[in-house]
This record gives sequence, C-alpha cells and structure tokens, in this order.
Amino acid sequence: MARRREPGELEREILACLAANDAPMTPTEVQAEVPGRLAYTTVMTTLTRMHGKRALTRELRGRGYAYALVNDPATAHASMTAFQMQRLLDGESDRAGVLVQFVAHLEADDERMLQHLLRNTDRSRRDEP
Amino acid sequence: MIVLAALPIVLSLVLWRCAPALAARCTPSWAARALVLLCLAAALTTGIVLCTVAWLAFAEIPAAGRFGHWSADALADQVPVPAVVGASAAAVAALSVIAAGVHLVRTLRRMAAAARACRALGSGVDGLIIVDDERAGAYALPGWPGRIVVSRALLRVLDADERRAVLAHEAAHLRHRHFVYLQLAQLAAVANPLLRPAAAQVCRAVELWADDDAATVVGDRQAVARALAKAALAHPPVTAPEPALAVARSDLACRVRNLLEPPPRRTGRAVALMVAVTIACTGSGLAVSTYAHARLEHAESRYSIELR
Repeated sequence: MARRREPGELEREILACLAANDAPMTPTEVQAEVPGRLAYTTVMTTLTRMHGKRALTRELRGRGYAYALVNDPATAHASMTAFQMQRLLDGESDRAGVLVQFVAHLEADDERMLQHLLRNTDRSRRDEP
Repeated sequence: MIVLAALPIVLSLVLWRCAPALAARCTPSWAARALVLLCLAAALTTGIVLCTVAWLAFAEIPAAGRFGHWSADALADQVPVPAVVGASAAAVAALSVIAAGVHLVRTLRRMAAAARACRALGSGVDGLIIVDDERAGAYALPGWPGRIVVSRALLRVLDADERRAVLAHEAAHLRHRHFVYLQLAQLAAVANPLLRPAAAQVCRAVELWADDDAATVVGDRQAVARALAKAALAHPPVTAPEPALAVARSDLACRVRNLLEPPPRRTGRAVALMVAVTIACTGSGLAVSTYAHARLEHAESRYSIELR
C-alpha cells in the first residue's frame, strides 16, 4: 500500500509523467498514468497550478486542455548546466561526491543479474490478474 | 595508559575488518547514523592520541623543558616516550591533518560549485529539474533547498511506479541530508585510512536507506528494484575510477537483495555495540589527553621546585 503523498510530490510525479511522454496529455490521460487513486479534480487543479507557474504549456483539445512540458531556451540552458556539473564532479573520481546519483556505475557481473531480474519480475506481473 | 592510548588505533583496525558485518546487521538508516558517529570518534581520537604522544616526546627534550619551564626529566620519568615513537607519531599526525585539510577545502569548493549549479538550474517544479540529455540518469544535488535532476532518457524507459521510485529515492537523499553523512564519513577516512571500509559502508547504507524510503512511498519493493535495474542498464558503461571507498561486493547486487530479499537484522545489538565502541574511543582519547595534561602540570611544578 503506497503512503499518502506529501505536498510537492504530486507535482513532481506529474512533471515526470509528462516528460516521459512526448505528446501533450489531457488531465484524464495524466490521471490514468499517475499511480494511486487520484481524483480528476485533484489532477486538474495541480495541472492548472503548474501551468500558472509556467512549468507547463497547454493547448486546446476538444473542450479541455492538453498539457506539456515547457520547451524553451531556459530549459536547454538548464540541461547544459546539469550535465556539465555532473561531468565536472565525476571527473574528480570521488564516489561519494557532492552529487548523489541514483546509480553510480555498472559492473560486468551486474548486467546479467539485472537482466535476469527484469525478465523475472516482468513474467510475474503478466501473470497477475 | 599505553592500552588506553592504543585503543583508538586497535578499534580502527577492528573496524577495518568488521565494518561490513556490522553494517549488514542493522537497518540501513541506523547503520548509517551509528557508523558515521563511530568513524568521526575513531578519526578524532586517533588524531588526539597521536598528537599527545608526539607532544610528550617533544616535551621530554631537555631544551624544550628549559624553554617551556617544565622539568623534562620529571616528565621522562613518569611517561617515557622514545624519540622514535614520538617522531613517527608526529609524522603520521601531520600527514593526517594535512590530508584532511586538503580534502575539506576541496569539499567546500565542490559544495560551492553545487550551490552555483542549483541557482543556475532554477527552482524547477518543487526542486525537480528535467533535462534533455541522451545520458539516462538521475541525481540529487544538495542545497537549500536541494534539486533532483532527472533526464528524459531515463523517464522514458520507466513505468509510472518506477518513475515514482526514482523520485522518492532522490527526495529521500535530500530530506535526510545524506550528503552530510557521506562527507563526514569520507573526511574521517581521509584522516584515518583504516576507516575506509567503514566509510564505504556508510555510502552503501545511505543508498539502501533511500531505497527503503522509496519502497515505502511506492508501496512496492519490486518496482524500486526494477527502476534500479532499468536505470543501471540504461546508464552508459563507465570505467569506474579506482575509488577510495570501493566495496568488495557490487553495490547494485546489494541494493537489489535488500529490496527483494531483505536479510534478517538485529539492529538493536549492532547499534548498541557501535555506540559502546564510540564511547570507548572517545573515553580513551579524553583519558589520554587528560593524563598527559596532568603529567605536564606536575612537570611544571617540579621545574619550579628545582629552580629554588
């Protein structure tokens, strides 16, 4: 059972969800994609708020809107900074550096183990009703 | 007294061997907390003991006694420290302090760079920054408040639960200020290289801690394991530099096992043991420096008696 979301968590998840999908999404599509039983109004309010903060753009679709990530020069600059920084700090060969990465590096033996894991869990998910 | 002086060094040696076993017996959050405290105590008291020994050897030189107004002979009678021992202690202490100082300066510079990067990245959405980069990855950047940076390439290969797992994992690092644990452990390991395995265990414990938090948030440990697997496989293979904090067994294997088959743990006992060792270390450091101070005062009083 997942626990209740903290403030800000939902906005981050919605942003991640929109980033993963290349096409703009309507509130209904977002509601279906984000885990947990979210009310439609919750999703719509959050999307509207994020649009107000200029984190999202929107276009008319039917009687509602479809939302997408903002794609502007500022974002592109942010991309450069983020990974320049990572390369800079990586280069110091300091594993416990200031950045804490999700996965630091992959070793040879790991690859097989992880592929195996993904195949097994995939199978068990397909078996679920 | 020699026993007390040797205690921090002996305990550091014991920790060199036993750190992985100790950490494995605790839940990750307690392993991280207890080990960091222990590392700091061991590093500090080893330094204190070395400096005290070096100082005593120096103080027993007659010329020093004349200059500082204490009886070098009285000191040498009570606490004989061979010159060789004193010189070695001084050398080791000096190396340790210099190494720690250099490391600290480097760390502060990197933290400043991180703060600049945070400002340059902007506030994102509640600290989340999505970047368009072919490298699939995610990381937490400490700051006030911190940032979570995730590449679109990674988000595309994950499903909804797995995305949630990655975000929750990075958010946990920021919430618990894990970078403080990591920096303190590393500093201790630089000052006292015997502590390197313990510091590596702190790194591992911090990752497991964030994984556990993510599993609680998502409500599904398998999803976190899958996210880990996909993120690792999507990561371009990097020839790992020879890290100062290498662990014998792959961290990834350890994290997957922790998520899918968490081993039985006896956190209470392991933490109690580590706290006891921390107290023993600190106690011995205090005892040694207090004793040396008392002997020096005695030597000073003897000096004034001899003068008359």
